Amino acid sequence: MIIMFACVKDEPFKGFDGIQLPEDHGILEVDFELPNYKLIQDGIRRADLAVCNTMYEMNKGVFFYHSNVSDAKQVYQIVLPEGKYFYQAVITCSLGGDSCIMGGFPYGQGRMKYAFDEVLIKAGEKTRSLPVFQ
Amino acid sequence: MPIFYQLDVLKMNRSVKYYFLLVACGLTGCLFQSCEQNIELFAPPEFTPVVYCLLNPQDSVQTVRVSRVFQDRSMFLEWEETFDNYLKDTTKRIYIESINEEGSRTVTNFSYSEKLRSDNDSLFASTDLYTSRLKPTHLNDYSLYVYFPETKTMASAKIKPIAPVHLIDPAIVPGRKMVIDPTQAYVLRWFGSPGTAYYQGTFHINYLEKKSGEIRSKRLSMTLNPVLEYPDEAVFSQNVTGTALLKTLKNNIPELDSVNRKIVNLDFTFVYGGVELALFSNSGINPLGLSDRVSDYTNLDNARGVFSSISRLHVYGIPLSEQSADTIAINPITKNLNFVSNDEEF
Repeated sequence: MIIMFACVKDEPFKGFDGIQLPEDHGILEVDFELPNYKLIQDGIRRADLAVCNTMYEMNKGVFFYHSNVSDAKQVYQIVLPEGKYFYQAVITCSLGGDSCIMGGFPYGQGRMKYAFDEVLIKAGEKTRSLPVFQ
Repeated sequence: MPIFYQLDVLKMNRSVKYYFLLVACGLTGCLFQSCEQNIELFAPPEFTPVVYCLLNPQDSVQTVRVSRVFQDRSMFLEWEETFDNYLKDTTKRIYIESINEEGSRTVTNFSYSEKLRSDNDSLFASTDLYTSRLKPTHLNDYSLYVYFPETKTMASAKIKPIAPVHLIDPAIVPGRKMVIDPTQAYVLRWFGSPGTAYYQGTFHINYLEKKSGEIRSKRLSMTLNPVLEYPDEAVFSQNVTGTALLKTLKNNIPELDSVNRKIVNLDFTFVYGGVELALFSNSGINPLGLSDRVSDYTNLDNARGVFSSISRLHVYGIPLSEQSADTIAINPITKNLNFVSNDEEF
């Protein structure tokens, strides 16, 4: 029992999904689900997912981390030192003409819609967040 | 009649039969021998026929490259003296037969375009290019026929061209910017298509270079390793690490103190090809793809080479995030290349 316990203690801390985490880091997992606009579902695209330290930086558009977002990927994991963060998720409508507005997206082509949240990252833990677009 | 006498007669009959059989075989052998000698009056030159044809469904002009590869210089010179000029008369010698879904056939003849190489290199090869107006589609079958008059042989192969591939990433989306960051990879994603098994992407990095007040546009290409994957009609992905992009910049751009540089954007070219091309690329001798060398893979009867299909997709003007410009400016790998950060004046 003592030998087994020693072995477990000596192993480096392992993160989630194969990510090797440094000791004072945690994971921010954002479930970046696209809102449902039935008539223009193919036109709604992920544009950005960015992280900053304060609300002031978010208002200024100053982010220290941007993710490579894709229309084919919904869940994003970002490794961060423990602490408080703000993230911003951005979507856009890429359909031409008035299709975006007629389909329920409040803006025309190329205009953005934003969602943000405050998250607390704890060492060795995964913090999950779901951005909600109004 | 005594029993031993009967046995002697039987033995004699058998030996006579064997005698006549031997005479008959000998005469037949002589006949074949003489026939063979008659044919040998014309001795065909010894070469390896090589045919390359990659049908491009996006193009309305298709090309066939025909080579004759000689192992012996004297053979090559002898062949050149006898056959070189009259090869330009290609009427009905190189053609593609297309068969549509209803089974009706159409023949497209190729005509001589140019001699690609006639110099005596280490392989003693003669290479000619033939072209024809043809817009292939993935709905039809195509058979290629190339006739070699010297040896009276017909090289042939049959394929179904690739269907269009759908590229998911990279994509131009308003507000979306590519991030070059050593801590995260950029993922290329695409839907495969029937018959496709060869995929290769190339990033073209566009940047400005300022020297003594003069600004010039520059372009640097980063070709990724080919992905040779089957089955088709699945979602494929390939990771491109931020470090790989930074190292490409470092290895291809000289460090000059008097020069300032600024990243503009990226273009992306995606080449995809048929199963035959994937097998050809993976055959060992041609790890880098098509070259002038003879491959050890062939899908042609009576010749070496490849008959397959190939197509391209382009994405222009992929914007880079401000974070990427800062990374290139301050990362130890690229710091000495003098790229300006996002908030610096250029």
